Amino acid sequence: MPRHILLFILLIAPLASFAQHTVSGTVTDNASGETLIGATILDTRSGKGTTTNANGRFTLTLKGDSAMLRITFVGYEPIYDTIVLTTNQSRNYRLKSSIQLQEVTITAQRINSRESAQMSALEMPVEQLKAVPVLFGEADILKAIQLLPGVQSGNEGTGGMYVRGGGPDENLFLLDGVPLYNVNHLGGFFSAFNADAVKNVTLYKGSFPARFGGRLSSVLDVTTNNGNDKEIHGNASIGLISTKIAVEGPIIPEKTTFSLSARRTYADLLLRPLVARMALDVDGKTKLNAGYHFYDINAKAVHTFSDKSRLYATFYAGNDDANIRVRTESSLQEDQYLSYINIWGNLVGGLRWNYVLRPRLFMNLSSSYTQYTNTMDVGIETIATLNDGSEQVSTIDGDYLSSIRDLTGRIDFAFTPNTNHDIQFGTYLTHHWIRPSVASASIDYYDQIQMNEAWQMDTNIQDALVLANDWVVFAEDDWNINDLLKVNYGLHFSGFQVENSFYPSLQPRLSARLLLGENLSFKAGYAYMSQYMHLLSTTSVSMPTDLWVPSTDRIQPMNAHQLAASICYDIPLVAELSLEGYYKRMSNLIEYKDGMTAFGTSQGWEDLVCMGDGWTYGVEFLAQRNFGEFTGWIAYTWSRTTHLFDREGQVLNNGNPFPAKYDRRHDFSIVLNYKFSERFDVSATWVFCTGNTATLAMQRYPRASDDPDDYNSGRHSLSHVSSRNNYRMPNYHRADISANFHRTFKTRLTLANGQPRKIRRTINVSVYNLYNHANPYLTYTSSQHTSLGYSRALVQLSIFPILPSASYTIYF
Amino acid sequence: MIPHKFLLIPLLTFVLFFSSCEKVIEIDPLDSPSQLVLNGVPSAEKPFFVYFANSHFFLDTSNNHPVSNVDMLLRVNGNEYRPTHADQCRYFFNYIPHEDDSLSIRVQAGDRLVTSSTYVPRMPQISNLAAFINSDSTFNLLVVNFKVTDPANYHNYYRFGITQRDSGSIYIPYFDYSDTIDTTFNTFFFCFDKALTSPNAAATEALGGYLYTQLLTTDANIDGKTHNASIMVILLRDTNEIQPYIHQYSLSIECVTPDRYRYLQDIDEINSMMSLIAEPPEVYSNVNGALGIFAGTAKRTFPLITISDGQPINTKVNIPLNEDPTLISRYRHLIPPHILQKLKNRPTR
Repeated sequence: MPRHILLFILLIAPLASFAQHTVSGTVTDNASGETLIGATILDTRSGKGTTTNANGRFTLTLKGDSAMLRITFVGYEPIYDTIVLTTNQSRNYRLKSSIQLQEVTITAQRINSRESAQMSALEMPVEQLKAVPVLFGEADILKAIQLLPGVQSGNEGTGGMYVRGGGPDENLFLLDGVPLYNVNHLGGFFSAFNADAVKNVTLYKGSFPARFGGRLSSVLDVTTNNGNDKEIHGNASIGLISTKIAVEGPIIPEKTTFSLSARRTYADLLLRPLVARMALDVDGKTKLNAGYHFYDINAKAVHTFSDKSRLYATFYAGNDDANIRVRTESSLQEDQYLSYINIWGNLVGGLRWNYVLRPRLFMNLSSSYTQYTNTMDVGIETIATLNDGSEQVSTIDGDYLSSIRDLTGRIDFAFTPNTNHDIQFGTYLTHHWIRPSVASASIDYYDQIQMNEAWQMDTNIQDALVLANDWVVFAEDDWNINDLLKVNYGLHFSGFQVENSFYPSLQPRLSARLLLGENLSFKAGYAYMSQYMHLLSTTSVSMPTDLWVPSTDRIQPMNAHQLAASICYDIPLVAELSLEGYYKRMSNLIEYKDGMTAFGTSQGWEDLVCMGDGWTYGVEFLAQRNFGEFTGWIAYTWSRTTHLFDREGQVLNNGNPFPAKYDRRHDFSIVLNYKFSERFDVSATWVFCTGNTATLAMQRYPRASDDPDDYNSGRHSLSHVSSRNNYRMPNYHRADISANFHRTFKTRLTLANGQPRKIRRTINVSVYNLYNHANPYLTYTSSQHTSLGYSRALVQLSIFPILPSASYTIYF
Repeated sequence: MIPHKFLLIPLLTFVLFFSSCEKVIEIDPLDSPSQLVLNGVPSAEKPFFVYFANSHFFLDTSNNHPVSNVDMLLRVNGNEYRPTHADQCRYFFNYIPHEDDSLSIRVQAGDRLVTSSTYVPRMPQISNLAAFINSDSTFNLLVVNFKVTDPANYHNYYRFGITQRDSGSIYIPYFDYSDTIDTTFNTFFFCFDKALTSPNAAATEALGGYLYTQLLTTDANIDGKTHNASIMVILLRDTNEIQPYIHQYSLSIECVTPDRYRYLQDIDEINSMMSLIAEPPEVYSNVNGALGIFAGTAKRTFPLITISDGQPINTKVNIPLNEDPTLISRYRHLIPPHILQKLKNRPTR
């Protein structure tokens, strides 16, 4: 163990009391052995309690001779355990699933919200997120997250997240602790998170715990299934867009488990013949072979060496593949083949070792690798038949590659010196390889038919490989000052080294909770964040050409200070209410200069952008019900986000403040789930958002000329923009509904416990945009329409009308 | 047999699917009040006029929205001029600008006041103009060589442009949203002259940009020197046209004021492909109280070549044909492959 860690432990050791004893262990699902994150362990005699961490572990230090522990988790039967406290205890609990015990569920929720000092965090049951009806019936966690307060979506149907006025690149997406750079498939219409593989989702919007860093606006911490340690289970489904399969089970019962899930879209397989036929019908000669699909694979294996030692291996691969191949006959003597292949996606791998060093000291040692690559190959092949009957082949070939790769080593500890302190500390180092773009072109061309000439070219244009290091040290303490006041405080230090610059950043974090009554609590928090990676995005739609680039000598890291305060109230047996306000001040934000954008290359990108400041504030309301047959939430956000770019040489909007691209005044959503019976449940959502902003040049005037005749044609006119983002598109609203029909069958197979194995099938029917509202996707000026007596009109394009879909799933 | 009412279900779904794709958004013109516009380009040795009008709503395609109650006064080197007559928002003066003239203008339109000032730069010193052209089946490559003598201790801003005379009107080929793709790629403009494309000089890239049809540069690298300049222009052969046609190309070389230089740079930005997906840039204005530009220029124009029915013919300037047969092969790869492909697939007459 490193010397400085031992020193740290010695320094804080006096916090421990010799009259105390520690109870530690894990809480798991009895049927699957899956660890339960956020389960509550409460000593009913002293009122002291804690919750399980991301590994399902807990540590509870108690005074006295004995304790009566109650272990609870949403949807599970409670366990009561009486302990004689003569020595430190190791206890593992396996909870049985229950859907009837509402009271228990309520208690678990109330304690969680009341006990935790953490604020601006939302932890939604995965099953509830999966139940939200979404586009094409494809369960999508990111789309469901967008319905929460403080989270705004980008364009319709896309997975872009805008959290508390931040941009889409200001969110840290963690898959089992490993960052994912591109979380979208198909321009953002689908997310990279396969809902079948996900066990737990936690979103932090502010007051970030010190263990997180690197992004300004949010952290989405996604944990995948460990796998059933007793029997093989799984599910398979087929829907309108994709087919999926998920399997989990023991490799060595109760020792080694695996979880494997895969998903692939199949529209290309069905549409490829149709597209080819349509192309052939155009001129009888063109042969078109075109398709698009995406796939992702999640795999995880967990080996338990002992109660103290466990090893996790995580793997994720997800790619989008668009390809077109066209054969045309340009003349009687020439055949031409045009091909376009574009593949982009993530590859993630991680190894993590949990070890219980002492009953109160828990260690995580991990290493991870993540990469995002985008490759594109464009080619033109011409086969000419010469007069002598021989064939002459000419090729024009272009290749493109963009990639970012990270390798991270990390060690962190959880230490519980006594009942009142829960300390986490650690360090990690990430090495980045960033190759924004490499383009090569080769031409081997012969034109013997028309010009009898030939030429060759082979060239390579590439951005320099950028190497960067990101070193982080953090420590945080969850301090129970007294029964009413609890504080989570910490420090996050990061140092980013790139080119000739080193950017250090010391980031204090603070979050406090004050109990104002049995069901009422007040929370306040502060966080300072720095971000060293920037996304050069061309449009609001997630494109494979979007490039990640690091801070440089000229472009400094982005920073944000955020203050937030909230009040939470539990209405017993009804719902949990929270009202939260925030103010965030951001600096070194990046925006493209007027008329500038980067497309597929980062060369000279520093000249295309300006650095400026911004501020955002808002109020978020959430009413949430997580128990019983009727669940769901109502979320409302009022917010305002303003940018100011007035630094010397980096002026936008004449140095005046302007609304950010996704500044929206109102966001409202209702999510309702109702379980009529074990065989039938229904979900419905309704969303309303203020329209997005856009820059619209509403006045035109002639271009200057020294020739009077030029003013007659009206052809050379210029646009006048009164200010950036001066126009607001129409409001957005939409309703979706879905229904699930379940049925369970017994099979002749038996489980390990002798019970017959059951198979459950679910038919999902959903309708997106139920009342077919034409929501704006983009606007453009069209001379094909008229408006207000003018010969042109501003037209909005809507892409998703009412869309029914269905899926069929079997659980075994 | 399936009842007819069940057949209605897919039909209704189909209709709904395509019913909500496009929708006109009503915008109140009053949300965007019009602005005054003043354009004045005092060009050495050319009769001077000022364009003064209201801007128009972006959905309105009509031109020249006049302003009433206009009182316009031009001061040149201390002398005052008033318009002799006005025609469709153009106010003509009995004044011909000369090098180094200093001008200021003051317009009172009701209770609104518009002012600006500028000067007339010196004429560019050009000599030894020579040009030659090479042709193949898809395009003509025009090479223009000349000497430019830059005066010392006089900060000059240059604009080199290719002017195309077509169907009786003269215009500078440029990119516009309303143009068709054929027009857009009608002319490629390349500058291989490093001295004229230094990092501090111009919006044009070192190897040229195929959407730029002008080169804006300063005299930063040629101040006080006589410089041998070379510009290449790729003229695509527009074989889509049914009727025989004649295109006449001229080289225009201007010395412009710093204000006009910034104005032209902004127009270059607008014309670039970037602006299609970027935030629309605001065009620079040096006019107080109005949009537009009031900036001087001194321009010389040289006829270069006439292309008749796809074939280059000589004009008054003796331009050798196919002086260097290897030139086209050397530079043909600069045309983007998809454009080349498009050209090859066009029907030939």
